[in-house]
Amino acid sequence: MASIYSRRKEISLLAVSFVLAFCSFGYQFLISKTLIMQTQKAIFSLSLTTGFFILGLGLAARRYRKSQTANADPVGTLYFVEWGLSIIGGLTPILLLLGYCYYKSPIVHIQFLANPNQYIFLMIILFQVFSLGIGFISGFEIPLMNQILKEELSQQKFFHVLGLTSLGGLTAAIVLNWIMIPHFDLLVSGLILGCLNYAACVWLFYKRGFATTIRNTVILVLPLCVFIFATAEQEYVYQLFLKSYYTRIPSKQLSPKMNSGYWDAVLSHSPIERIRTLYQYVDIVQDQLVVQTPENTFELRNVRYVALDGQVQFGEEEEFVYHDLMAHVVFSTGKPVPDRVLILGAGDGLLARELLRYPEVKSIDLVELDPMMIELANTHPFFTNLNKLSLKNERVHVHVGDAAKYLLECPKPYSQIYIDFPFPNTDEISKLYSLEFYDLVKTCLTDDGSIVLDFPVRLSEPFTFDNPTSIFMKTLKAAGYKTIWPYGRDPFPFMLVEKNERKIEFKPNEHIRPRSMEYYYQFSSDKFHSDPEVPINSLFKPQLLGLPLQERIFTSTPVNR
Amino acid sequence: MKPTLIRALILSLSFSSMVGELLLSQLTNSFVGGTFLTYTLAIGAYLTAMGFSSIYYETITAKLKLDLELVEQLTISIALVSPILIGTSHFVAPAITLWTCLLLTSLLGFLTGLEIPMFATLFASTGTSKHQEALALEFDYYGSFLGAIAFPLLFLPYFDSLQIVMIIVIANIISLGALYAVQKSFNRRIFMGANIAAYVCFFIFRHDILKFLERSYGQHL
Repeated sequence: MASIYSRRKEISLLAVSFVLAFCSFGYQFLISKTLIMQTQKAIFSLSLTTGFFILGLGLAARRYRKSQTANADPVGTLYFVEWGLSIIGGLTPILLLLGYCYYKSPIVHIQFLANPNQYIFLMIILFQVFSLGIGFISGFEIPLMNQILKEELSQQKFFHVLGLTSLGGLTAAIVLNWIMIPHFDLLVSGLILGCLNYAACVWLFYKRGFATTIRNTVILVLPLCVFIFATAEQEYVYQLFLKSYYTRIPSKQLSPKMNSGYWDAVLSHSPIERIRTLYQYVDIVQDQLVVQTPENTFELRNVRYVALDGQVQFGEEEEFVYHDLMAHVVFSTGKPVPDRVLILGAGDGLLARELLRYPEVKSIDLVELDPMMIELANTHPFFTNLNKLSLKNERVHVHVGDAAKYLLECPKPYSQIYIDFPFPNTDEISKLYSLEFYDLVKTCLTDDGSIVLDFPVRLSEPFTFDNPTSIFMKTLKAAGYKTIWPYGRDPFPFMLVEKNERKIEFKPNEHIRPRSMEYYYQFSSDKFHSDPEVPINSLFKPQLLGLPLQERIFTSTPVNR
Repeated sequence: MKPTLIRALILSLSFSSMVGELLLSQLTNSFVGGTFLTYTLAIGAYLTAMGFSSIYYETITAKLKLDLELVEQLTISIALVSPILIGTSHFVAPAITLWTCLLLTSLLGFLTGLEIPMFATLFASTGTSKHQEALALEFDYYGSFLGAIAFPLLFLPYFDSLQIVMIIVIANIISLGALYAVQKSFNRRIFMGANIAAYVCFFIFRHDILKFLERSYGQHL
């Protein structure tokens, strides 16, 4: 009987160890995910958060090792450890979002960091205080649980506790990836973990046998009140973060004196519609811009634009310029309009809309990874007003899936391929600009076929090894393309690429609007990849990450079509 | 053995294990995408295997006759074959790429998990601390921290995946050499010779292996 009692006790204590580890690792993963959402620097955020969390564990192990006497009240100490951890951990995603708003404000404007990437990297490093803190507090869990087990069962269970802690890490990774983040997003996931942690805290309170005095009860109930308040306010915090994110003030104009004006601008920003999909955040942002009127005067006008994972894609007033240049220029260079066209990306349906203007095009295959993007393109008024329901046209065949997989199974080579991916500001998208990917595209292109793609441009000199444009062109060259013909202008740069050499002469066709022609500019590609130092962007040695890329911002002077 | 050397060994080995684990995640991520999913699952698998081998340390080492030298030799072998195995698995069936990564990170975690009690035993033999497990764990954490910081800041921007493998294998070989020098015994010469030969082959054929990985992505060798 005593043995059964002891076994139950052991199981319940080990189960609590598991729950506590689940929460701690869950907090760590949530910190990474929140930082990725804020900065799009996935590898940097994940590695640093893991590193600092582990450092915190190490420092706690050191603190424990240095204490010469055993803890007199391990259950009571663990209760306070978990009490603090549940509040800090549960609120961490919220605190990170608020921290971002503060960091971006003029108060914290750091003059010596000229490169925006350095500004982002510094923020990721500063925010590691949360990983370090949570790691440090969590680091006391293992030795304290070990001591509790040792005292209650008279057995050494150090490596059992360590083992269950590790298993908690894997479970947290699985549950967060497949259940919590897809269903509840970051802030609510944090609060759920905090509540779970708090439940373990309550269990420890009763196990320790604390007297139910007013003081003890207030302390016990406080985290619950904090969580209820945070749940009520989480939508406000999220909007504040998004407004702060999309309030774009050039860093040169920032100074601490502007602080109150900055916050006025943030708070008066229109609410941002955020749609969370399996793969990305789709934001529809309404903002005010100074625009030029046909009478050559200026006025303040509301503009709406779409951003994917925080990166601006197109504004509703000028998207036609982008899609005109992308769709029609290739057919103004002596290339006949084909009957079959492949589009990789462009799930918004805008490029398809332009191509449907050619009666010669009998079939358009459009490959989009994100099914929600297709759903939005077919149902959301913002998209349907612009794309004229192009994806529902019988000539358009939508394939939901990975572009690389589609290319691998390419049914029949195409003579015209359009590649319209977001700029490689994230690790994830960088591989779609790699040598290996362009090699794959070649297998699905006819010998006389053309590819039109947009690219991350920095057209200013010098065209040295760290210029993303140079890297991009060198990569295409290395993939075996002989014609590389860049055209367009900031912020609408494109590339016409072909397997064989071809002398290209441009004569605009009737589909390109006069306004779009203002952005047509053709420049030589030779100067970009002539430098032997220019590296190639490969899957196995990514080069585009960490470089300052041109953001696809909309023009500030839209006019009517 | 001097406690300082034990500390240095733990730091070096946990550093290379963490870099190796992140590298496997990155390689898999290059093939299948899903950075957050790949990294968090790999970290979770690595930790679980580490915990599992720590729990059953005594049974495992007794049954498999494992000691620190053998653990290090096995780690070197796994690090050398990992990129090729991941590339091959993607070529054979892309669906198993992530599972291959998880298997390999679990193996690395399993071996790292065995190192902690082994180093704790070494610390115990020096009489340094009464909390030898905590001491070994602490330095393992420090090494992992340095690895996690070095990976995105030093390794990824300046070296390709295969160069990173070569660096971490060299770190393991040096640690093993130090262990041999201190213990003044040199067992498993054949295994060590095979590992060094594999390393030399890896160095000579690194461009071909990289080509193989590139072709695996496009599935046209």
